[in-house]
Amino acid sequence: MAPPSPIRGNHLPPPPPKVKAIAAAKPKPKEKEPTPEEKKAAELAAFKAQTKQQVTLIAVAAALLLAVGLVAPASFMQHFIVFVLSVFIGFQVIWKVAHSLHTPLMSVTNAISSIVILGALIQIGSSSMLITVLAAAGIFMASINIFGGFLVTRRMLAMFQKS
Amino acid sequence: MAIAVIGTLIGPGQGLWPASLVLIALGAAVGYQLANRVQMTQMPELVAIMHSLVGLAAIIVGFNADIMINTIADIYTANNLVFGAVGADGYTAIGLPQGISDGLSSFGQLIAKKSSVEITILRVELVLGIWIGAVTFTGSIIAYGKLAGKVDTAAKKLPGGHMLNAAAAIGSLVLMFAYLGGAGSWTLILLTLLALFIGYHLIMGIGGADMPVVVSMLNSYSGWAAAAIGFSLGNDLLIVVGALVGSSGAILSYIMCKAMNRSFISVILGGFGGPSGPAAEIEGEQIAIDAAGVAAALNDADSVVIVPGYGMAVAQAQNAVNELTRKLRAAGKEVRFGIHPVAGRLPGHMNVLLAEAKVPYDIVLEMDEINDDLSSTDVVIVIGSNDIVNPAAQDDPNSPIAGMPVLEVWNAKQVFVCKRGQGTGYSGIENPLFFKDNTRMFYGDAKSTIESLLPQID
Repeated sequence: MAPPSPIRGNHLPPPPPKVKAIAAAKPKPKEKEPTPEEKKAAELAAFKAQTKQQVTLIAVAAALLLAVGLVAPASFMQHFIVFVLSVFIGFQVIWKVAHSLHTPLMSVTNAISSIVILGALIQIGSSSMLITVLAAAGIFMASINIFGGFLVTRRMLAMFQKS
Repeated sequence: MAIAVIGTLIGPGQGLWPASLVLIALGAAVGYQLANRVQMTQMPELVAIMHSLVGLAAIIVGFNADIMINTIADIYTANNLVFGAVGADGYTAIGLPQGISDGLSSFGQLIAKKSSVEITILRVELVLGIWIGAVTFTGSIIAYGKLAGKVDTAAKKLPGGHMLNAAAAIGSLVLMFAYLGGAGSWTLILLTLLALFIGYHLIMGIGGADMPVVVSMLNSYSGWAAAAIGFSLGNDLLIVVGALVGSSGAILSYIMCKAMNRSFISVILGGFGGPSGPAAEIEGEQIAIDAAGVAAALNDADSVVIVPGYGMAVAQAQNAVNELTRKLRAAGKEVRFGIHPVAGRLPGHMNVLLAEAKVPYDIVLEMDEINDDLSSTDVVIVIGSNDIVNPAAQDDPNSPIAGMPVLEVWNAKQVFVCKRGQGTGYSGIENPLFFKDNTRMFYGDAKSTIESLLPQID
């Protein structure tokens, strides 16, 4: 039933060209184990490249921020800086979430994006009937999301257990 | 979040907090029912439909802001004042006289004290919020339809394809400038219709297997929409939360795309790139095996790796898989799971399904964690997955999925593939794994075939 263990032997004639094909297809052929020194050097180079990239990115972002600040009013800049910092924190935090928890992550971020309910809550007190009706619909829909999202996230997280 | 909602409810200028509370309670009841009734296999649909609600809420809030701007402008005109006029310092708005502004809601007052530059910025922000919200709204509904099987999952485009989307996007831009130039609210309505069309057409053009990317992308959009609305309302909390959600969805999309070795653009533009040359000839034939054969191999094996895919979710086979795992582990065998990042229809979908079936999470490993161990594994069982275990991704430079990271299950001593029947599966790409000497095809519905194994494992 189970094929014999030297199964690769059966393939012996084709392999040479096949290996070539793999090398051509893969950008990084993993054929030879690099020595520890090479590994270390590669890691250092990667780290340097990454740092360089990050520094450039931050510099560009800072320049852009300054450019926006030259033309935009102060009230806008205050919110804009909050926005930029939040994106930055968001990236830092989300990268650290384990892959296995990505579905709960999506449902919880969905729940918290219903924070848009605040907009509708601010608007519902308006004297205009149209605004009030629309805002009421908005509040209703966003609250489905808030409760549904948080509850289903809790349900999912409770399922994960160790052996 | 609760504090923010309560604070807004009882805050100044809030006239209708009892009505708001009733609406929230109603929404809570619906949300509670949804959260408790949904099956874990339906999570992708649930997440998609919830994104559409955020999108719609963003459209509503955006339109309300526009209505309010017009109302305030009318008040200024009625009082022979200029909306947005600035004082002596050149940028602080003069605003309405105290007596008039006191009669406005808090939201009205917020808008009434804006200078003309700030009003223009406000308009740009609300256009952005409405536009992203509208794309999210129809896009999520189509994604929901495709995930729930209510809309044909194949990639479909109207004649004109992406030129239509590009035209609609350019049209939106033109309308935005018309709106900023004071052309009136009809431009905003037309712009919304165009955005709704883009959301519909964009997602219709993307196939069902790419839905993990689409759902994460829509997750990201719902966040950006919230952030744009936060800007127009001058609410930092909305901006912070929106930006967090937006970047979270963006990262998830990036991870999914990387796992498929495709650029984000190519996924959004829909369909696989198509083969760049003739596919490599596949030698050999698919050999079927029965439950007794699989059970015998499992009984002989010391280490087993299970690779689940969307097929396991469709067949609802996760409980049978858990039972099999439990029995094999009780017999002293090492059982682990290998999860490809794009297995299933949602990032991390397989992990949740297995967790629900009570598979301990410490034996559920990621692709990178398990790939090196596969060569020393006795038996690999592939359940309802296809492209993520396709050796053509590494061997055949002409394959449409060439370069995509895959689980190298063919390195194991023996591979069993649980599959409903012969066929190429979703992407239509032939899988040479099925023809390998150490592969046996275990045909049938995943749930019943795995259950048929159970009595034969000792």
